[in-house]
Amino acid sequence: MTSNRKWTWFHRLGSPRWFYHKTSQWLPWLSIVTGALLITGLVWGLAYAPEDARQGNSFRIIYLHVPASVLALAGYYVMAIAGAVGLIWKMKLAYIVMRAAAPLGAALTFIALFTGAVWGKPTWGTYWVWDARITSMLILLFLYLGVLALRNAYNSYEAANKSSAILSLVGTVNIPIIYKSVDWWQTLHQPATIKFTGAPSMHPDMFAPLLVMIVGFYSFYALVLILYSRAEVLQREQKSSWVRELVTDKRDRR
Amino acid sequence: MKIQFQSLQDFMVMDGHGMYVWLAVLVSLWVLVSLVLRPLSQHRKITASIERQLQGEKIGYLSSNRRGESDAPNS
Repeated sequence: MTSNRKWTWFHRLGSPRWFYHKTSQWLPWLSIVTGALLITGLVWGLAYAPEDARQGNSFRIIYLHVPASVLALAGYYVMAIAGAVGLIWKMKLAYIVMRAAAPLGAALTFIALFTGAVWGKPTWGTYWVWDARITSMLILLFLYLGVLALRNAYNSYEAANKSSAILSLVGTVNIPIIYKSVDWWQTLHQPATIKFTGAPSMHPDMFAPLLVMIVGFYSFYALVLILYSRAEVLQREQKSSWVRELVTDKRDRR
Repeated sequence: MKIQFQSLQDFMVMDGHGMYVWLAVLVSLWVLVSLVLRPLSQHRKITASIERQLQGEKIGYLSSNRRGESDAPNS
């Protein structure tokens, strides 16, 4: 009996209806916080941060490149863990989140690669090198695109979810490789700007806006993940009475 | 903390790096904005389709009643 009670929150968390109603309350706040952080961080980084002694103004690309890369990687964990939860507990909402994480992660990986290429030209003299960090990020993009394709490749929703989840889990092998690539191989890519141990290798005046942007990207990630998941919830639950009531209420309020 | 550039022109050019910086900024912002707009438009489309479905059921229900017995509303 106690074990039943202990798991109620877990099942409630897995309820698409509960998720939809909760996130309706969160969305306005999350949007405001995200917008404020991203605008502050970007203006601060582009206009106020001091220019880099060696790279000049091109280094300002870091304020998009690093946050996008951080979230492209963190987002992969979100997708893989959601996929695992879906496989193990057959939780509907987990699969919905996994499906939502795929386009979001692909877009962030694209931003990381694109800004990296544009930054590479004035810094290294080339847009692209087949270096360990960059190649492993390209593989990350393909993994995201793979999940994106798989989730719609089956007639059966369940089969599509299972295969996407398995691909996501197998792909996690790539994540530590990306992290460690700058240490394991000789590469053009500079080592990590932020380390969990020790001080960042950056002046505080440059680092502060970067931190704002990273927090802003985390917030943005949560926001868009919720938006995609909500659309998917409506799609999946359109036959259920709560969605019908929701739509009717919305129409009556107009 | 002060602005690092003398003028707007200076800010755009960024000592010759402006093209790279602004290209990165514009493309990133475009991707970010479309990431927000896509699920919103999906949400809107799904809501509209459910609404149409409900409307269809209502009409179907009324007309099947009318064709039936005298318990159909006479208004």
